[in-house]
Amino acid sequence: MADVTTQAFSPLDHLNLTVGGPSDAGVSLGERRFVGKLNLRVTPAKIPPAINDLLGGPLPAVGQVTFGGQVMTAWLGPDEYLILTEPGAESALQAALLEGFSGQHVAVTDQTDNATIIRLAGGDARWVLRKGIAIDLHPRSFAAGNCAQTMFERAQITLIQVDDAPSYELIVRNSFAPYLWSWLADASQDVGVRIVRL
Amino acid sequence: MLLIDCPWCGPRDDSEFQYGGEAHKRRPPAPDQVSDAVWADYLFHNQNPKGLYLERWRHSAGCRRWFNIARDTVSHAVLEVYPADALPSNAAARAVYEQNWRRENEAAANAAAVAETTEIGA
Repeated sequence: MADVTTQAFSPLDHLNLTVGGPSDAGVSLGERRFVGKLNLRVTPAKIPPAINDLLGGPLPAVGQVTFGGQVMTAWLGPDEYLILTEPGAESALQAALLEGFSGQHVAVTDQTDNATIIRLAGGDARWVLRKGIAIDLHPRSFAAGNCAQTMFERAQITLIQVDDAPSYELIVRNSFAPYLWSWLADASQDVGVRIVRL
Repeated sequence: MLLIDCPWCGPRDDSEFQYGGEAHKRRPPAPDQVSDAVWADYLFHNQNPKGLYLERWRHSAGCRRWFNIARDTVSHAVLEVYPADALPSNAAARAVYEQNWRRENEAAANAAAVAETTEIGA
């Protein structure tokens, strides 16, 4: 009988990426693998306190992200949010959220396997990102704690600025991930790119 | 390239949006009971003006929400962006809404319905 084992793999595994690169590289590129992703549809005016405790604070305002300890919540629409958790923690959080809403008309959908996260960081990250994105990334209009859903060249992404390094996280569908990775790696050649394991 | 000011996400390229045709079209509540002419009016007949037009747009690559805009089809100037369930507040856009042949037909239908009711009552 065949030895059947299940092994999680990321959409970038087949690129056989080698970790490393110049120490003075302008940007670093890495994949945050298997991060839990929950889509929450809810009327923002009706949030029980238990939910704020689970998410580490109130839901984010328009175009904002909230960082609540182990979870990060991004605004997607007037009644839609994306919750990012540690790998493997999504099922427990999904159950806890549904219990916290106790029968209220909401939807909590596990979208973990729908997308992956590419992290682009470093002094030249904004310069690289600007090549493929049309929105204004100047700190006065897009800073740490902001998020936006937009097109990166031909790929639809959710963009989050995590810190002022600046570090960006690009949430992209699995099927577009190799395209986006290759695009970013190529666009980063001018400033030097270091591949990191996250 | 058209720059559209999404009510939620702010100004974005038109490539992020999906066009939804004429705004303020009302779907006949019982399509199987209306005449072919009325159903065709709803499905196929649009204002198609040279000038100010009230349109539906959807920010499909962003927040995925529908909204309406008042746009000039000649200059591509966007006069107003307003919620899908509201009427434009801009005077020129409001006039376009009120002068649409659809509203005339509705007004005529309402008047006929009122006349009929009065007749039955009398």
